[in-house]
Amino acid sequence: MVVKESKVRLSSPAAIKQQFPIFSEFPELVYLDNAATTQRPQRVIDRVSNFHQQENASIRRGVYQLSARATQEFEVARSTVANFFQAPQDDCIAFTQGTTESVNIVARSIIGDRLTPGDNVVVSLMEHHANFIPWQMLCQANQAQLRVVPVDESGELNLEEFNAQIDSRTALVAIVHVSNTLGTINPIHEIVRMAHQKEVPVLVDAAQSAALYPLDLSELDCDFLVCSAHKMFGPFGVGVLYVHPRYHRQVQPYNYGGGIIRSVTVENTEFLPYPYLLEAGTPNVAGVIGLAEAIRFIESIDHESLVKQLHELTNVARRKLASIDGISLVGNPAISSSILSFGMAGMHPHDIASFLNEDHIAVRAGQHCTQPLLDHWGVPATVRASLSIYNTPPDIDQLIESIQGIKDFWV
Amino acid sequence: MTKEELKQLFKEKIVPHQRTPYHFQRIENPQHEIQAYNPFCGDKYHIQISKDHQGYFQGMGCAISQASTSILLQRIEGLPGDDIAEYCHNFLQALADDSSLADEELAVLTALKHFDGRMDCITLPWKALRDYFKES
Repeated sequence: MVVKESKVRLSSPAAIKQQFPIFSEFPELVYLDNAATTQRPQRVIDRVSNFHQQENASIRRGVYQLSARATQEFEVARSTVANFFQAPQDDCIAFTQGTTESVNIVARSIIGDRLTPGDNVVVSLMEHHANFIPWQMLCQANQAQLRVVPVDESGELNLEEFNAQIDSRTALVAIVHVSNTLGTINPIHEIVRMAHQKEVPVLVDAAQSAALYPLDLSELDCDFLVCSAHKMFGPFGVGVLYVHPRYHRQVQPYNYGGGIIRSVTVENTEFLPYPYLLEAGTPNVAGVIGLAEAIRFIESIDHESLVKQLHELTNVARRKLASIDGISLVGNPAISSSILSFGMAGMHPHDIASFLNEDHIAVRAGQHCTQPLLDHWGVPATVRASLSIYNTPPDIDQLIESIQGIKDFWV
Repeated sequence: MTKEELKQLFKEKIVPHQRTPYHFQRIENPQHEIQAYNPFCGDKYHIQISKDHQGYFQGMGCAISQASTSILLQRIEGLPGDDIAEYCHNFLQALADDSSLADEELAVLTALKHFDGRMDCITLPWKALRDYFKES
């Protein structure tokens, strides 16, 4: 019997939840740590598992059927990622170990060589450490200036201030699309436009936005974009680096090794062009193929409706949390994603998270790798609840009830 | 011990240390100054040991790390450096081995490791003092 794949696009969070086996395994789980990592749907787990069981081989170098097929699937994945982001060419996409490595590659293999003393790199105060420290280190090593655009009380960037930081000596603007701590969705199109008016390239950290608000690169026209598979329902250990064709010839190898060379002699090595010169050694083939399957999953659901429902649910959570006496939200951006950071008077975020865990609610407590941002806010840590498309109204009811219970117990 | 009993213990034995921590102040001319810092969560305490072997601390952190520091400073009062290192080592060993402890408050501290992911909160000041006095 041939079972046809249903063409009906899933549009309810409850139906989406059924696609994720972890929620069958732990029916009580209220998973609100999606900014750290999303869960994996069955089809991604199956795709990775099938690769290991039936298709495993090293890519590119084998002249046997398994290797040829694995190579083909790997390149299909590159094409799937490129199409997902509307990249102008498939070969704009390089596979890395994650967002962190992708940023470091741009810092060390592209921008590093261009940076001279007196130049500057512009970032914002709400950057994740992964899009902050590489630039801080690069600037320090090259007597360049790291310019940090401040964040206002609501958790937003002032675009005029941003624009004022960009000048003729700016080598790069590196900016997060969605803040992993505040949930702010930055006006990324305007930022790219501002920077390009001054002929400054822009790196977009799309780690938090890739699954929910995928950017159309043909329209955005940024120069670099980075994200991670595991925050978009794919496996750990795979990242994406997008480089616009105008920078392909400027990319230098990041790791030296096999698979990236045109020729090697005792005296000299000639490298393949971008993106292949970045993929030294045997890549995470199963992970890359799993990412492609995760993208097919995202493309198979009623994304627009689910994101709309997610926004409504997040707004409900925000309102209910704010109405609890003693709870204070950190940031209140006008345009935000499904991430909420908060604190409770007299109780440390870690203790709140521990007690939520007792009620099977998974949240993150800490600094969320945004120490400069929290220092600015004057808070040592926050509780962060980050929702995704499988979170349902009962999840939020449970969070609120549990928070209320903790408060009654503690305060 | 059930989780409910553990929560109750938390309230009775840990929360009071959070609300009124022992020697939560900064002193002049201490003999030793030690930073206890967990960069993953941001908990940070500045511990001082006076010339007459009294422990004091200041800083910010969760209830468990704060109570752990408060309890620790009471226990090491009067001890010379070598003995502090040994005392901390012995507690950390008991914590790792699940040994039973006669000291009720220390027993509560070790029981708190059953809260998932909170081991570092318990051990933060103990490791800081052990490492400081082991090296000095």
